Amino acid sequence: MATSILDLSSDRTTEASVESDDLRLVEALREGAERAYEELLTRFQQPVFALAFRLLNDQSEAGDVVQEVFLKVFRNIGSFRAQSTLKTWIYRITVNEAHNARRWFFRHRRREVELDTDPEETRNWKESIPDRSRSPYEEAADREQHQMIEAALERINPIFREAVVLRDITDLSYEEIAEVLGVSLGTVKSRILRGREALRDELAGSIKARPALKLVPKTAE
Amino acid sequence: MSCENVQELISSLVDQGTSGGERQNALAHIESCRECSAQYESMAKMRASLREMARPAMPARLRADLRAIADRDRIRRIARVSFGTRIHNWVSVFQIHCQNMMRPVALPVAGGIISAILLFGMWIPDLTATPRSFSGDVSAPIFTDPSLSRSNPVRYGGDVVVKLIIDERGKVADYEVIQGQDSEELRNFILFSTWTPATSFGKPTWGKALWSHGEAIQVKG
Repeated sequence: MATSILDLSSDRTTEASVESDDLRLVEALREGAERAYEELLTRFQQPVFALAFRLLNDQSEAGDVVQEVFLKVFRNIGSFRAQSTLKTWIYRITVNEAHNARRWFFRHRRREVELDTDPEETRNWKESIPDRSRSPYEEAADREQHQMIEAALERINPIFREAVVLRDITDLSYEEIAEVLGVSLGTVKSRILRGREALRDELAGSIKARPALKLVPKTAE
Repeated sequence: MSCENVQELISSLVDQGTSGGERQNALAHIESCRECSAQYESMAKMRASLREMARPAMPARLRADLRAIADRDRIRRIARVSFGTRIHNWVSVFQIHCQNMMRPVALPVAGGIISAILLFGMWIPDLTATPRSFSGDVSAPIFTDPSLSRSNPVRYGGDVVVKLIIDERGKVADYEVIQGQDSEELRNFILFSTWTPATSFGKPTWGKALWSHGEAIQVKG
């Protein structure tokens, strides 16, 4: 019991510290302090890009979304009321912007003809950092698995994808996801469950659909 | 606990989201049920794979763009703080523009100024040197007017203005009273005065002079 009380108090202390950090940062941003801008970018540019990239699966789209997100963050920092943490506020903007970008994409670019359709050439894993301590076979297997997961993620319903990405890749808690998506905790749990099931089904489907190696006997000429 | 209930909880179990008796019961069921165990394992594995996915590297260009966005916003925000800051900001912008404009011509201009200073510095001694004069020199000007060299020792007390014509020997050739009374005393005064004749290119010549109250007013010869 004593341990749980200690845990709770340490959690509250952490939350209070995050809150005060956010308030200090926001105040400094409102005053136009150079270090505050640097701190904000250092803390959030990479996670926001990763989130946008996972939601859109397109580097240039993700880049546009990140720029739009930070423009909005800087423009609206004055109206930030600390009702949520800075992290969830920025992630909420990112999810909304990614949603808008996806809608725009489907309206305008769907009809465009892609010239380079070779999946090996258009894959987005060029920038992934390889783990040199592993064998090439393991690396190749991991890469293939990640490619499959990424492709499966792209195929599932965007509503479920958002929840899964926020939970499993961005590592937000259920409560934070509820704040980011503006839905109830129960809805978050349900979306994560449905998203994971859909992802698992997609992965199972893609494994089944893969052409197996076939040995065709041929008579030597 | 039925398989259906456990499968609803599997996602939360993977996230360590369920606690207490419910979790114990679900885990006990998973240990005993092959199907639920397989589902739990596949879900946990998939989550691990999602968490292991490499973070997409952020393009350097995007980082630079974000920094530029942040700088622009900071300048805008600082400018809004006070009028003084706004003025200061304008001044710094003007200075930057001036520096950018002047930098390409700074070296040639500095070189030109230094050369000019050196060149004119060498000429200054010649420009400021006073000309030497010799006692027997003929006066340098092209024309000189006649001047009174020695006046009559007898003082003339009248109030008169006289126009005189002086010949090349310095003698009064003619006179005309412009103002005042002509008198014997005035004529004697003129007769015994000695004049330096007018000169043209160094040679004595005729000239005119105005004489008033005992002192001559020089006129063109």
